[in-house]
Amino acid sequence: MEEKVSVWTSNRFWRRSATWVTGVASVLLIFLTFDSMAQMKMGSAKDIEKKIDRRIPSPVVINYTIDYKLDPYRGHEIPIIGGEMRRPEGGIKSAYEKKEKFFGRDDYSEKEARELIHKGKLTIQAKNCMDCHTLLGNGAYYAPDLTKAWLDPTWETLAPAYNGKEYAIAAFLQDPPKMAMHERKMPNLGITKEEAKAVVAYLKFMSAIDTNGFPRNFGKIKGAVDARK
Amino acid sequence: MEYYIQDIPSSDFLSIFVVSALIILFGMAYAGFFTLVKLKLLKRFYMLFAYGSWLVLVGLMYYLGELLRVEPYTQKVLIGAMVGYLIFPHIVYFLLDRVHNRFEREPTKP
Amino acid sequence: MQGSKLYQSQELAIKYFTVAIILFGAQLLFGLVAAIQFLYPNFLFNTLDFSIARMLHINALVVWLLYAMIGAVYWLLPDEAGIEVVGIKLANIAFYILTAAVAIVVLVYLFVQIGPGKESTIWFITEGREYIEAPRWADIGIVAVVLVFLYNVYATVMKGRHTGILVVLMADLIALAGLYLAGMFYTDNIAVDQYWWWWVVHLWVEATWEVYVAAVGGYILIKTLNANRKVVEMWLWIEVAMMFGSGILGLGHHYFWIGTPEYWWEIGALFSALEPVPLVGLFVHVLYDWGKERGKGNEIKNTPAFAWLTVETFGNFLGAGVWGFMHTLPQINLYTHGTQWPAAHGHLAFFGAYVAIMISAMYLAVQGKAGLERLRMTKAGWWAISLISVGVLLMTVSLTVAAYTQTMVERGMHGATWEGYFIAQANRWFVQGMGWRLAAGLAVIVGYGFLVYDLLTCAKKQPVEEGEKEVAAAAA
Repeated sequence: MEEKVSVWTSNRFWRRSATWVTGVASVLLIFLTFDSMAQMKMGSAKDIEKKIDRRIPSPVVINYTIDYKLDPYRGHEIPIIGGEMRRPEGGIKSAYEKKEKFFGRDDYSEKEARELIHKGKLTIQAKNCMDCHTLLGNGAYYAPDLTKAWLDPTWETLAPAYNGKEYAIAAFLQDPPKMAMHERKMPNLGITKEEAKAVVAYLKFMSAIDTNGFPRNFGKIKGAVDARK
Repeated sequence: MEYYIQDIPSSDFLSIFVVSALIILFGMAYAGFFTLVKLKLLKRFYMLFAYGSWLVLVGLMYYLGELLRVEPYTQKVLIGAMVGYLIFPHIVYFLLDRVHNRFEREPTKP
Repeated sequence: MQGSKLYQSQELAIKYFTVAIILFGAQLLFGLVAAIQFLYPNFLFNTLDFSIARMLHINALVVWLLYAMIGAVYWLLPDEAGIEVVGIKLANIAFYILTAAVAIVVLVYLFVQIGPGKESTIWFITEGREYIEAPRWADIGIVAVVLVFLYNVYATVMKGRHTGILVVLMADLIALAGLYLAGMFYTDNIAVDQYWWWWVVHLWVEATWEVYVAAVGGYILIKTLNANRKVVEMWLWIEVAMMFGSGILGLGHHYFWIGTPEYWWEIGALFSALEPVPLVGLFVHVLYDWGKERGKGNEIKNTPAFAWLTVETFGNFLGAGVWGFMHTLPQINLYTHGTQWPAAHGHLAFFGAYVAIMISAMYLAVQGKAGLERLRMTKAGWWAISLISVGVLLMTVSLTVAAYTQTMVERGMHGATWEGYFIAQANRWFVQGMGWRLAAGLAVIVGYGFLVYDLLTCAKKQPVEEGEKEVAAAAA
């Protein structure tokens, strides 16, 4: 029984198609990865001097005030570092001017700030934070998201008693059960004073990352979404 | 200005989850009825159910777009998905039939 | 292959399966602890905190699936290639090294748990990155063992028959192993960290593992249903095209909110809409095969393996398709990201896509080891498959209720703050969801007990058939 083999039933055709599809998708992914990596490179103190926005800013942002505000131009909330200014094309952006004391200083050099967040990140990994909390929304769901933890209203209320929220968070981290706010409490993970300071620095730095508006309506307690209409 | 992502009131959340789940389930119903009728395991009459499921899917997809307040790009993606759902089972069935006819008519070796 | 004579490689496969099933038990046990802690936070507090229980839960899952996957390859490799696996001695040594390493890592997880914020912790205790917490030394060990495994596969296929299934597996395994390297570095930049972390996690579970499953599923179909090899192999390529075509750039749906550029919204949305495509294809395919096989009188040679393969099809469709699509578009993911939604989706999708097929492969090994022409479902087997499947489905539904409550209360009404988080966690619906999840989880554990019992005993409990009786009589 001789019949012309149709392309649809040709093993070779499909093998080639699979290879091509995979190849094209991979090449596209690699190309996009190069672009994303360029956009996600950690900024430098120079960028901040020149008021250039970076998705992941320089760790020296710990010297500045940080806020999370709705940018009418982009249509979602963005981190506002060191006060806001008008963006030429519309909306608002970070002004990188208003400083605030972080553990008594607002003049951390780029090197100092980087060292601090280096230790902070190592501690976050070493203590397995991600297996209870989420960071940038990824992790476990047993404890609150830490993406914008630095900006959480809870710390504003505790700040006065500790002379500033960085001290409040650091105190909490060093002995969480003592400051437990809920029945589901964080265990004492043996975080030292130095590590606590570094973790707080990391949390502050992380709150300055541009997450495309996640979490939405952060900090607008009660009827956040519906109240806006 | 057209934003990519609009605010969604929380009262719409439930509808969004239910509608998106139903989209996939009706897609499955369409593919299922379609295949079974083609295989002559169901009467031809049931083809109405297949295309009926797809029509429901179209309605649901439209509603999902409304609920999500999608901008033109996602609209196109959703329309593409509707059409994709319509033709994809046809393609798969066509290929299966061709392949089986070609290979299974060959003398089978023990 | 006659009687119960196995290739050495298949003996090795059974060792891999044995460790896999033990680790499966560990996964369920630590999952149980974590589920209890959601309801009674003081349970094992300061002894085995949630973070540790949860880490062991998901790591045991990943490791047992990898063990089962390697096992299944060692099982089918000599059968497909027609020769004993090349370098089988080395493969045996690698097995013991890997198992020793896993044991050490687990002991360190359990008893050391965490370390100081230094590089040494990353190297020797934990890397603290969900799913791939294994410390760096273990990473390197895993890579070494996987290289031995790849050598076995490549050398064997080069020497033996090159079947289509093996060619797909060869290509897929190298990608699978290579991707692991993307997770083996440290950076202070958490956005970049998570970017590459997803390369490992997503490109494993939504691309390379899927293709692996398609290849092994093809083999199981040939073995259980006598499916036509040419048809299976051609379809395998079509599936590779669909899965890699939608899965590779499907990575985009993890890049909405982690500091990545906005264009990932569009890419993620497009490929999220495409990801159900292979599932629909698979569904039509399964129905077609079922319809064509019906009435042909082709017997199913291994009923339990085939039953688990059926669970696989539906579980994958529901878990990955329905539960995936419910929260994958960026517009809604903004509110569901970082809630119980991914947990609900993950439970059913992992079970449907991977657990079911690995159990199916184990039943194939049970049949092969006993040298049975046919393996039938026993009562215990039915209890196992029913309890586990229904249990996981119920867990998923309960988690979905909890997830919806969390999204609504925490994200919708309270602006995603800590206060909002805890208000949502205390909500009656959320707590009830967690309660039912625990109950369903217990059912899964009972089902696991049946499964282990059945895997060990089902070969001896086969009903004796007429034909076999005669053979036995003639032999006597």
